[in-house]
Amino acid sequence: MIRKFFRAGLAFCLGGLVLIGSQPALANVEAAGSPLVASTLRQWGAEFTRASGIRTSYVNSLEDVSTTELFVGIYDLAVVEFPVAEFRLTKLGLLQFPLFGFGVAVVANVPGLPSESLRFNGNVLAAIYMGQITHWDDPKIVALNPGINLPHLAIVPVAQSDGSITTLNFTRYLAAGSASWRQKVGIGSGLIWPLGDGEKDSVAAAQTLKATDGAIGFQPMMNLARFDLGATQLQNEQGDYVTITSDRVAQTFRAFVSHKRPDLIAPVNVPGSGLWPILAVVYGQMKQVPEQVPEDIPDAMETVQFLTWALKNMPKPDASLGMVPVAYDVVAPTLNSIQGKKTYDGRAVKKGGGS
Amino acid sequence: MKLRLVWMGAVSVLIAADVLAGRVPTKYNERYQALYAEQELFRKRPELLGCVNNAKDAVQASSNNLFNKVRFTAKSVQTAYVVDGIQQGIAYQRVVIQSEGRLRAYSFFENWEPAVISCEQPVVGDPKVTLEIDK
Repeated sequence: MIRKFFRAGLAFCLGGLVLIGSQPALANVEAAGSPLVASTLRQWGAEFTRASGIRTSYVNSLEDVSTTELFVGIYDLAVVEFPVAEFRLTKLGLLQFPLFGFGVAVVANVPGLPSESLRFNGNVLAAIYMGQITHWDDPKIVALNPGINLPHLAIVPVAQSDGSITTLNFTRYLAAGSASWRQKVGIGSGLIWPLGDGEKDSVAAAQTLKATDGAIGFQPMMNLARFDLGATQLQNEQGDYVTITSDRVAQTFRAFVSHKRPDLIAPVNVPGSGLWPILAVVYGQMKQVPEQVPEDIPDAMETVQFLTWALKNMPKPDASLGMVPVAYDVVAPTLNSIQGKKTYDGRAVKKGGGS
Repeated sequence: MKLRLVWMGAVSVLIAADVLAGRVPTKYNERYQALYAEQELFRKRPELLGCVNNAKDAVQASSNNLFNKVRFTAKSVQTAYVVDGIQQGIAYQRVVIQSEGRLRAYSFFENWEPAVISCEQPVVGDPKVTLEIDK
């Protein structure tokens, strides 16, 4: 009886060992964060693994969760849409750097009229979303679009209450163009829209825009090609009406991240000729002092290696993706500071232990 | 025995008075409601996250504050607002959130009052956080 029991126990232990052995090994570079860039980062990760043998993984996660889990050492890289203030980064010992930029476009569905031919500014868009302009042939829209035969068709404003950076920066554009919007509605990623609840996310909004005659809404640029939507022209900070293109978004992104502008809180109405007025930036976050936790050092270094390799070697996402990666030169000083840092609070960190 | 009865009677009166004054939570899941409201803030209005963290830090860091703890209600997510501005060439973002603050007082019971959290975060420099009773 005892022998049988012993044999069963041994078999159980061996089975367990086999199971453990068959588990896939954990990735070296573990990242978490915004679902917006998940496909691009996973594609980069797969290419990097092929080239270097270093495994990577990317998990969709909520904003605060990814930063907190980076802080406690679960992930090596957090990817966030809402940047964390500098004083807080210092407090948490984190570094933050821009990773991707994408344009936010205004989409119109007027039968018989290509969206690209229509022009809008923040003031008129705010009036539409506040219910003050109800038809496409309203004099205010006609004034912005001389020579275009606009139909007497009801406008269906499509809003989103998704807690996304796309919504936040679109409302920023409306607030910049309309004092009335600023005072009565405000800026927010999930605010109460004057004309009722918005769609739950940008995909649902894109489907409504596509299916509804007379609809107008806003979309991240990557959804334009995906849902075959046309974007209107928008008035930029200089007063020019511009169309959204990958090059223009890339130029605006460069203008925003290359010089730290104290007069800009967000990449909306970035001053400069020919720039796109509404942009959203996705940021990466890493631990500033991985040496504090010795077992994190190799992973942090491999994360730096991954980002460096990807930003230098990966082909730029094509125009249809609408996502512009940051130029390596912009983030190189930040990434190099992780590689170069060997002290914590001015004290040298001993290999394999505390200070 | 008599003294014990007097004590029990006094405590009962105090508890009844606090319940009537609305200071004692009468719903057992109030704590979870506050937690849920905070999660809703994070999920639906991630731009408020920085201000929520700053307010929590502020009440913990200083004994001069009116409150020693903050929590959020179901209406926080709907009533919170963000204003962008520029002062002497430096852009800032002001976030205002309606919440509840626990009064810093030597009391056996928790006194939660409606509070307004206001955070001003400039592009350059440290944020300014104020917590006031919502009048």
